[in-house]
Amino acid sequence: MQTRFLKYLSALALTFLLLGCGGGATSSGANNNSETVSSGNSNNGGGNSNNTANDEFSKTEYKGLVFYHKNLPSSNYKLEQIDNSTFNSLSDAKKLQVANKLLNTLYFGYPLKELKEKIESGTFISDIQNGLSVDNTDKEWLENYILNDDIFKQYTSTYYLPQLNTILARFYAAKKLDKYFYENWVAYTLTQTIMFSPAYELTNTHTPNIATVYNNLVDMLEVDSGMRFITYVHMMSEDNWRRFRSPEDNGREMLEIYLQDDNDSHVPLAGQALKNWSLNADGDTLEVGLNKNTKPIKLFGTTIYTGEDFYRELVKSSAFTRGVTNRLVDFFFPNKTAKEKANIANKIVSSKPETWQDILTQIVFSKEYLLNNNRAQSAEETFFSLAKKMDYRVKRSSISRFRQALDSMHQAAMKYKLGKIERVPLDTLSFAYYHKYIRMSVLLKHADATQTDHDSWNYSGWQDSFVDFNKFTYDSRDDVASLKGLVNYLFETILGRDAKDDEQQFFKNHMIEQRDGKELFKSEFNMFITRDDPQDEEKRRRDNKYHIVISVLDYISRLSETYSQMEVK
Amino acid sequence: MKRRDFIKLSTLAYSALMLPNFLQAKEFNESDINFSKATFDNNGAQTIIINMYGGASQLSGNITNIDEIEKNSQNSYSYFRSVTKTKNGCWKEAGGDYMEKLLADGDMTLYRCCYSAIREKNNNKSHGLCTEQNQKGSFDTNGGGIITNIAEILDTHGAIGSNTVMPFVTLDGESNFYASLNRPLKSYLKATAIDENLDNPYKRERWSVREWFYYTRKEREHEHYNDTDENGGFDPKFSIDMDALAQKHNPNGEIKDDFAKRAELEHFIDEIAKGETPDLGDNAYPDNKFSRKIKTAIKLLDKNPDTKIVTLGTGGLGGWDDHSNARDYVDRMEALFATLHSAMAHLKAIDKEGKINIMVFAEFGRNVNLNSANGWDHGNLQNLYVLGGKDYFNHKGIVGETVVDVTGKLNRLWLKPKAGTYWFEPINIASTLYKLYGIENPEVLTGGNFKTLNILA
Repeated sequence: MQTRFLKYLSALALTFLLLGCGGGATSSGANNNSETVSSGNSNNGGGNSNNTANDEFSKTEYKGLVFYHKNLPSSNYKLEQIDNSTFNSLSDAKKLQVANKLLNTLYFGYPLKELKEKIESGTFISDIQNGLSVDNTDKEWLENYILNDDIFKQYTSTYYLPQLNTILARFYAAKKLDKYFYENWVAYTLTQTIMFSPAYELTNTHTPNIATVYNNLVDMLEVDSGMRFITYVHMMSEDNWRRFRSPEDNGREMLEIYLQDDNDSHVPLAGQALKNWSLNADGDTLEVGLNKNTKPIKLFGTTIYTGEDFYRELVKSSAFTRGVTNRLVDFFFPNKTAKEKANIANKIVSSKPETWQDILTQIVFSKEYLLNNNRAQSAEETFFSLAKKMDYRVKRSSISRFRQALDSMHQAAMKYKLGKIERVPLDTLSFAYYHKYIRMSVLLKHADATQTDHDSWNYSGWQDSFVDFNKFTYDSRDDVASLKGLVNYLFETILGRDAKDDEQQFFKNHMIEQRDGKELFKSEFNMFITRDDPQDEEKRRRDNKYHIVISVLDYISRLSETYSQMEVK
Repeated sequence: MKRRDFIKLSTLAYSALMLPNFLQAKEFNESDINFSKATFDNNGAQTIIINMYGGASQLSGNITNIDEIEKNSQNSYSYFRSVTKTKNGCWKEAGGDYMEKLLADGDMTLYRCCYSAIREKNNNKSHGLCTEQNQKGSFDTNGGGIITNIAEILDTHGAIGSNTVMPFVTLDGESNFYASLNRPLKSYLKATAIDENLDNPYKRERWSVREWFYYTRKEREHEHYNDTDENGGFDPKFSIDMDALAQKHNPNGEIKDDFAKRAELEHFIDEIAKGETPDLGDNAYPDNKFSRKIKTAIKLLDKNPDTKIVTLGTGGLGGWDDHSNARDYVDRMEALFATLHSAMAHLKAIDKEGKINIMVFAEFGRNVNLNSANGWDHGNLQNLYVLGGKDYFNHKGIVGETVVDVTGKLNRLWLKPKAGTYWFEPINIASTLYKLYGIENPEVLTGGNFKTLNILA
C-alpha cells in the first residue's frame, strides 16, 4: 500500500507543481498556508472516510480532499441487493435470466454448462461479487497477448484508433471475471458517460487521449482512489481541457457534468477562478499561467481563488455525490421514470459512496436492476458475452471491425463529446446496423476449424466446440427430442430461456419429416446421418448440425431479447 | 447598450415572462387541439430542419455591431483573417456573400433576434436544456418533441395514416424532436433514420449466396430458385415465417418497430437512391458530407411527398461549440451557406421552392467576447435562417436589430435585441411549425403565447 500511496501522492504533488496552484481557498478543508500535500483528518465533504483512524487511507488528503477509500461493504448499501438466498429462491429459468443479465452487464459470459454449474452451487451471486475484489489475472500475460500483432492487428495509423482497439481486445481476451477485469469495466463504463468521455470526435483531442483517460482511471482504481480524487485529477488534466477548452467553457461544464448545476450565474465565477488556464492551440496543450485570480470568489459554500481551488472544492461539495450518482443511474436505468430514478439515486447517495465501485456495484447487484429493470443492451454487452458463451474466435482485424461497427450503430466508445447520452440508440438506422453486426458477424459467423491463417475471413466466428454433442441433450434414436435439445441449448445460451412451444414447432416443421411412419430429420438436417466412410460421416453430421444451428441462430437474431435486458417477471 | 434601450428591452422581456403560466404541455389532450386540414393541405409543406448543435455564433449573419464588439472584446477580432461587412451587415468571409445572394433573390429570411428573455431570467445557457427546450418547443421539458406532437395530431385528424410512407425522417439519429410522450407512438409515426449515402443496412445479407437449407424441397425445385431477386428469385418462406414468428414474440417497443419497418425500408432506400440530382451548373453542391445530407434530404422529399419533415445536424462540417480557436467557424459558415445556396438552386430546379422550406437554428447563439482561447462562450441570442417554402412564407429579408450589452464583467459581452425591434423566443419556431402543419392553437403545445413568426402569411 505504501508504494501505491506514494505513487499517487507524487503524481498529485507533481500536478500541483506543474500547475502552480494551491493556497487559495480559505474555508473548510482549504488551508491557506499549505502549498503541499498534507496529512490530517478531513473535516468536510472531501470524502467521509469509511476507514478507521489508524488506517493510512484516512490520513492521505489535500486540503480536505481524501485520496483513497476502501470500497463499502455491501452490507452498507441502501439500494436493496440481491443475495444468494433471493437468487436461489427464483425458478431455474429466472435464475438463468438473472445470471445472464448480470454477466452481460459486466461484458462477461460462461458457456451454458459452466454457468449452470455455477448457478447450482447456491453461491452464485456472492461468488461473482467476491470475485470482483480478487486479482486472479496474469496481467503480464494478458497485456502481452492483446499487444501481440499476430493475434490482434496492431495498427499504426491513428485512423484505426489503436488505443481503443486494445481496450476492447482486453475484454475479449481476459479469461477471468476478477478485480482487474472489473476495474477495466468500471473505467470503460465511466468513459462512456459524459463524465469521462475522451471525446475523440473533437478536433482538439487526439487518439492518445483515449489511452490516457482510460488507463489513468484503471491505474487509479487499482490503488483504491476515491471517486472525488479521481475526478479532481481528471478535471485538471489536459485530456479534460481538450474537451472543454476555455475557462468559462470548462468551468460551466464541470459544474453541469458533476454537480448538475446549470445555473449560468455560477459560470463567470468559475471562469474567474480559471482565468489563467487555457488550451494553447500549439499542440492543444494545457497552459496554466501565473496570473492567477486573487479576488475571493464565493462558490460551493466556501471561498475559492484559483482554478485548483475550484476543482478541489467542486469534488468536495455535497452536490458531487448526488450529481455523479444521477449520471450513473441514468446510464443503467434509462427507461425508469424521473421519480423512480430519483428514488434509486437517493438510496445510493444515502449509503455515502466514496468510490466508483460503491455506486456501480450497488447498482449492478441490486434487485431493482437485476429483477425490475428493462433496457436495450449495448453492443459491448451483447458481443463480449456472446464471445465467451459461444467460444468465438477473432481474426486479427475482428476487434477493430467491432469498433467500427460500434460507430455505425452510433454506440461508438469514447467518441462523443458528451458521452453516450443515449447509450443504445434505437432509431431505425442505428438498430439496423446493430442487428446486422450481431446477426452477420457473430451469430451466423462460423469459424472454419481447419483455417490457421489469422487474417483469413473464415478464421473468425464461433467454433465447433460451441455446439459439440457434449453441450446439449440428444438421443440419436429420437430425432425430435434431439432437435428440441439443440434448439433449447441455443436459446438458453443466447437468451437465457427455453424455446417456446410454437418456436419448437416452427423448427420441427422445417427440419423434421414423416418417413416410414416415423418423425425423422430431413436429410439436410440429419446430424446423426450414417455413412460407411467415418470421415465423410463426421463431415456430414457436422454440416447438417451447422444447418440447424444457423437456422436457429438466425431466428434468435430477429428477437428483441437478443438486444435487450428484460425485466425478470 | 444605452440605459433607455435596456429599460425598453426589460419591459419587453418582462411582458414575455408575464405571459400565462406555462400550461402542462406534456400530455396534451387531442380534444384541445384545433386542427385545420385545409391549412395543412393548402400549405402542403415539407420541412428540412437543420440543427447547428453546439450553439452557432450569430456573427456570420450579423456583424452590424462589430466596431463596439471589437472595442470591448478581451481579444481582438484581428485574430480572424478578415471581418468584412457585406451590404446588409453579414460577415462576408463567413458565408456572407451567399447570404446576400439568397436575400437578394427573396429566398431567405434572416432573423437576427431569436432571443430568450425567459432563459435570461432563469440563468440558463446550458447546451442540454436549451436543446431540449427548442426541440420540444416548450420550456416545459416533460412534454414530447415537436415532431412527435405533429405526428400524433396529423394522425388523429387523418392527415397522415398507416399508409403514409415515412412521414418523418432523420439523417441525424433521434433527437428531442422525436421525444416520446407518456403514451406509445404508433409504429408508422416513428421517425425513419437514413444516412446521406443511402447505405442500406436494412437488407438481410447472407454469407453464402443462398442458405439453400432454408428452402423446402419444393421451393428448390421452383424454376426461379437459382435466379437473382431481379430475375424472379425469391426469399424462402422459412425466412419470412421466421420474421413473423419473431415479431409475434417481440414485445411492443422500439426494437419491434424497427424490425417491422426493416423490409419496407430496404426497398424505400433503394428507390430514393435511384433519384437523380439535376445539373446545378455553377450552383453545384460543394463536395462534403453535409452537402450530401442536404442533397439526400431534398431528393427524398421530392421523391416521396409523404415525408413531411426531415431533421439533420451539420455533421461533416463540425460542431459549433466554438469556445476556442474560432477561426474555423468562418470556414464552416462559408461551407454551410455554400450548401444552402446550392440547396435553393436544387429546389428551384425541381420546382419545389414553394413547398419545401429549410429552417436553420441552434440551441442558442454565443457571447461576442473573443475569450482568452480565441473563442466565444455561450450566449442567448441567435439567428434563425428560413429558406424556401414560398407558397406559404412571405419572406422578409433581414429582420431584427441588435445592440451590444457591455456589462463590464470578464467575458460578459452580449448581443441583445434593440428596443422596439422584432424579436422572439426560440419557442416561437415551434409555434410556426405547428401552424404550418395545420395546428391552429399551438399554445396548447408550447405552454405559452409564443406567436408564429411574421413570415407565415
